[in-house]
Amino acid sequence: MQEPTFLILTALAAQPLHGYGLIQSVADLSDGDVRLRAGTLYGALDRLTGQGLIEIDRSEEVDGRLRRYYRLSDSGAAALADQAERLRRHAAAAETQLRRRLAPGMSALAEAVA
Amino acid sequence: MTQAAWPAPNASLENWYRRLLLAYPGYYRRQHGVEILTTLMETSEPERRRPSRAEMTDLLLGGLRQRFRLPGERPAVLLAAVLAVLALGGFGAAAGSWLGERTFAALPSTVQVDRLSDVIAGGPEGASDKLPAGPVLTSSTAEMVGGGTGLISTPGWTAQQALARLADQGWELRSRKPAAVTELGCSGGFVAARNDGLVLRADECRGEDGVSVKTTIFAERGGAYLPSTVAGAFVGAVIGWLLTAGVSYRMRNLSTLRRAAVGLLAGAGLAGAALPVIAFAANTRLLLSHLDDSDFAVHVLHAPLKPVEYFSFGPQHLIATATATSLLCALTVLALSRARAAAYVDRAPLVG
Repeated sequence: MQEPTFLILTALAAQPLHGYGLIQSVADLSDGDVRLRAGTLYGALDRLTGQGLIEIDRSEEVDGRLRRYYRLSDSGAAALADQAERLRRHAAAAETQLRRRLAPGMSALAEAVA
Repeated sequence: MTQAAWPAPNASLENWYRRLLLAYPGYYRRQHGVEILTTLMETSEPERRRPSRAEMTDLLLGGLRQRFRLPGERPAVLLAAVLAVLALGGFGAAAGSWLGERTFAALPSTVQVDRLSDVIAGGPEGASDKLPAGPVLTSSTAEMVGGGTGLISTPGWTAQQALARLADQGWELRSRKPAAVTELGCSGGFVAARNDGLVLRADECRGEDGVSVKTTIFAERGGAYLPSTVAGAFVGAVIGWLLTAGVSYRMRNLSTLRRAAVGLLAGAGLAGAALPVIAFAANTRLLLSHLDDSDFAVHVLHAPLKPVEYFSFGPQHLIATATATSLLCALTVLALSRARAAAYVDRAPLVG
C-alpha cells in the first residue's frame, strides 16, 4: 500500500470526508509532506472504491456544486489495520536496529578490545 | 460544512477546469465531473484566474490514467481487455495493411498486360495466342494481374530475346533462377522489375508442342506499408483496451440482465474475431518469412478479407461473415452500455 493510499484510508477512518476535506486531512496527517491534487486524489478514490475499501457515504449539492462524502468500508478498515500493524512492526524493527548501532567512539573501542 | 463555505463563483477559472476535465472519459465526467470541479474550486486560491501548470498536468494525467484504468481487480475484465487488444490489434494491423497497399504502384490494365504478352511472344502482334488477362486474388498476397501467352508461334523463341524486348520498355532482369514446378508444368522463367515499382514474373511452360509463358504482374512493397501496418496494430490495440475499460466501467451501473447480455455479446464478438485474427496472424508470419524476397507478390495481412476462400471448412465468405458478426456484436455492446450510461443517476442520497 502506497503512502497516499494509506493516508487517505487513515483520513477516512475517523469520519466520512469529501474531496476537499480529504486533501486537507491528508496534508494535516502527514505534517504537510503529502499534498494531494484533485486528479491524483480522484484516481485513488476510484481505485479504492473498485477494491471495495471505501464507499460513497452521501452527497451534498448546492447551486451546481457537489460534495460527495466517502467512508471507510469494513474491508477498508481491516486493510488499514493490517497495514498499520505492518508499519508498526517495521518501525519497531528499525528502532531495535538503531539501538544496537554503536556510537563511533564505542565502535573503535570495541575493535581495540577484539 | 455549511453552505457559506462553498467556493465562490469564478467563471474564468471554472471554464479552465471544465476544459481540462475533458481529458477524462465521458462516463466518468458524468459521475464525478461536478464533484471534481467543486473540489478544484475549493482548493484554488481566491484570485486565481487560471490553473497552475502542476494542476493542469495532474488533471491531464489523471484523465489519461482514468481512460486506461480497468475497474476493480476482476480477472474476467483483464482477460477481456487482453482479448480485445489482440482482436482490435489484429483488425488495426489489417486496416493499416490495406492503407499501406494503397501506396503501392498501380497495376497495369488488362489491355496493357495483353500488350506485354505480345512483347514477350515477339513476332507480329496477335501471332501468338494470349491467356486472358485479369485480376488475381489470393488469400495471402496483395492484388496481382495475371496473363501471358498460349503456345508461342515465334520461331526460335528464347527468354533472353523476350527479356531484350522487355528492356526496351523499361523492364530490367531481376532474377533468372528456375521457378518452382507448378501445376501447369512451368519449370523455368525470370523476374523483371521496372523502376515504377512493378514486378513481372514470367513462368516458362515447355511442352512437346512448344513453349507458353504465364505472367503475373504485381507491385513491390512500398516503404509506407510496414509503418502503416505497425501503426494500425498499435492504434487498434489501444482502442481495444480503451473500449474494454469504458464498457467495463459502464457495466457497473447496468441491471443484472443487461450486464449478462453485454457480457454474452462481448464474448460472442471476441469469439467471432478469432477466425480473422488467426488468418491475419498467419499472413503476418508469411510476410515476415518473405520480407526480403522480392520475386513474389507481397504478402499482406488483410488479404483474408478479400472474397476468396481462406479456410477449407465453412462457407467461402467465412472470414467476412465472422468479421461482420463480430462488428455487429461490438456495436450492440457499445449501444447497450451507452444507453444506460446516459440515464445514469447518482445513487448516493442527496442531503443539504
